[in-house]
Amino acid sequence: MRKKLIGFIALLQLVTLAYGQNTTVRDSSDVQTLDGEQLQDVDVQAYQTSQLKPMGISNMEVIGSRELLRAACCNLGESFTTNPSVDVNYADAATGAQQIKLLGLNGTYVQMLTENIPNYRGAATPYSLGYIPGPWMQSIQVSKGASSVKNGYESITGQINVEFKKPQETPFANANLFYNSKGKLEANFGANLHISDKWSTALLGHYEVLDQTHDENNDGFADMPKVKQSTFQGRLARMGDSYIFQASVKALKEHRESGQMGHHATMGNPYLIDITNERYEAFAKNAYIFDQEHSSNVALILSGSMHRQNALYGNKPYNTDQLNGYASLLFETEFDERNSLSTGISFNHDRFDRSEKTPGVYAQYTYKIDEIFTLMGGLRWDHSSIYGGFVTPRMHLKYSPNDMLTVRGSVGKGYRTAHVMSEYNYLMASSRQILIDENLDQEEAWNTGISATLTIPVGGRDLELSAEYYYTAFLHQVVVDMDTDPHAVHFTNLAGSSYSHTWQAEASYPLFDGFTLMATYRRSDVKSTYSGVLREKPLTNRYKGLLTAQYQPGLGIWQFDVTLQLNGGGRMPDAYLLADGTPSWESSYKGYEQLNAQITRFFRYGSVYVGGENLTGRRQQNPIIGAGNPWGQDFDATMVWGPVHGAIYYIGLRFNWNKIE
Amino acid sequence: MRKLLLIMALAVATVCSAKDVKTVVFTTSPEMHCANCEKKIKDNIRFEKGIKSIDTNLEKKTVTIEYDADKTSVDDIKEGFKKIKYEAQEVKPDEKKDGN
Repeated sequence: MRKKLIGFIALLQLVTLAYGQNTTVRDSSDVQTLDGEQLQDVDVQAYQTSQLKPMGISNMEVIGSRELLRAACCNLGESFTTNPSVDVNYADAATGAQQIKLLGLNGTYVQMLTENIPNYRGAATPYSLGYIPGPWMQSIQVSKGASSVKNGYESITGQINVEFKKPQETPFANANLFYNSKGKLEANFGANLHISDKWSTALLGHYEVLDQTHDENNDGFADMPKVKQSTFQGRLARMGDSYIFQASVKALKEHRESGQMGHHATMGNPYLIDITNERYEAFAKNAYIFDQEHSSNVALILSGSMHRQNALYGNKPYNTDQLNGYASLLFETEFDERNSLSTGISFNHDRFDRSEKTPGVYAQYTYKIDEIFTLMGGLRWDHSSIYGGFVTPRMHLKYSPNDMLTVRGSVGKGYRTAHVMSEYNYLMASSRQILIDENLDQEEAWNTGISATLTIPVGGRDLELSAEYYYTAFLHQVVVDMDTDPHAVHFTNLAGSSYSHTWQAEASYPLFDGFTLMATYRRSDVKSTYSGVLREKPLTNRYKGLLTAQYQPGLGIWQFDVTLQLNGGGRMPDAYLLADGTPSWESSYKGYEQLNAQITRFFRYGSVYVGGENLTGRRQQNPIIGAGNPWGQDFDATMVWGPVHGAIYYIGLRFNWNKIE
Repeated sequence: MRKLLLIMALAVATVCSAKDVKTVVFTTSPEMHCANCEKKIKDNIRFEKGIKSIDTNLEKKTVTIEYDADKTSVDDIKEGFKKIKYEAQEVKPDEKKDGN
């Protein structure tokens, strides 16, 4: 029974949870419940805090279902509010495009996965953080540093994987309503149905609308775009003893309007931005376990997506149709308790601004001595129809001599093909000329990292300490140069060095019953070569401090959350001189704080929450340069380093029903 | 002002002293055997009327509950367990002694 269960769990890890990484799930709310009897043998440990650090080989943070209740978490982007490692900022002050940063580098260097399948690449990149509604998510895994070679060669600074609520879960039905002081309304629903012992299905839906404009700095431009988005996902699962099947289809339509729509907009010939995104996705996962004793299994994963974007930035159109197809066939087996192998082949086809076909093959070997020592080495070879063959080596090490200390190290290479207009088309919200060199390189970088976590009993409670250092060095990079010519953005091959050093320290301690405090500090040194000069990367915060406090008194019926972010200053791209000889903007920006708070009242079948974001009202005063004359030479909405709106207050209702089994 | 504070303190003391907080220890059927069971019990029983605190012990497989006897009773709490498909059996103090 135990071996069968171990095999089954391994298969679930492959297909459902951790196709990318060896993950030990330690939050009961994120475990795929099979049935009560089987769970008797599983080591399930519920964490006291909601931010989880699993004991797997990679340096991973899990944002579990409890963590997602600590803030509004309307979508994936907002779910990182309380996360120390992932930064989310507006990419520009007009379109509402958001970008993440991990290890001080752009989100394009993070491999985005949904259900452990690569997703949200190319044209989906600028707005993808808004494409996954918060109530759909079961958990998010953030892995820093080199990742497993199973998911391909693209991860450079890390991976972010989103697990959705699933058909095979305990029968559930949920709904959520959200409204904020800017007039944004969101509605979500989800439910699953167990058709038979093996087959189950689920439907998830989301609608959001913001049809008001606000112009807090009176520059005539809407601070946030009007947005209408609707998205649905349908799922099917078959959970057999040996054969597991999961499939999903997802459709999304989104319309954004922005520009001179504010109360102080000029009436004559307003500068308007209009963006429509349509996206369709589907995947199917098949896994067959043929040797329970050695967890030997074969899995076939297929996915495809179509993304259509029609955008108009003033009088500049950008329209694209992008197709992606992905297939992966894997074989995994455990030779014995210490030695295991994973190997497979994959094929990726992108039809973006250019077509690229990339078949690949990989092997990954893991040597494990109980929970004390794990060594994982992976090698893959891929052949790009544009760049030819390339090799991706990666290695991970974990040493955990006792329950108190865990040390991890990783080194590995990553590659990616830059699709500059797809990924950066929001830069068209400016008068900058867009210059793209021919024959852009395939981006290539080494990432090396070390991390340590230490648990020390203090006053009868566990003080959790962690520290980490990561170094990313580019061998080839497509540099986004906004310095050389302040009236242009130049996409060019790196000629010189480009790197990122990040140091991060974290402490978490439950000060008293129901109260947990977490403090994090991160320092980043990110530099690249612009026109032959090694310089600090612009619009990148030099440090980040994060303080989160959660208080759940007594039975935990009330919950109080406060999050304070201290974002360090940074360098601005080089300015040009105005007619009076003064620079068009400052050469640097100062640090700023972001204060969020939320109160939640739980009920048996749901919760009510009220909260506020950016409570101190800190915002960049004039994020749009040349807002008075957007048709002129000096218009630029991309010089954004901070919040573009003031305080936002919100209220939400959640309804949750779970079948008691 | 002093009078007002005194009256308020008395009122609070009266309200507090009026509460008849009692403690009851249960074992369950099926037995509580994992963190999932603990979570299920805590997440649901906390919403029963009059519950003040819930403490689970996986090793002894017991649930210790403090409750306001003016608002609920042991039988009412047992009914709460039935809603989540558990049968709760009260462990009497003498049984606890025997068990220990």
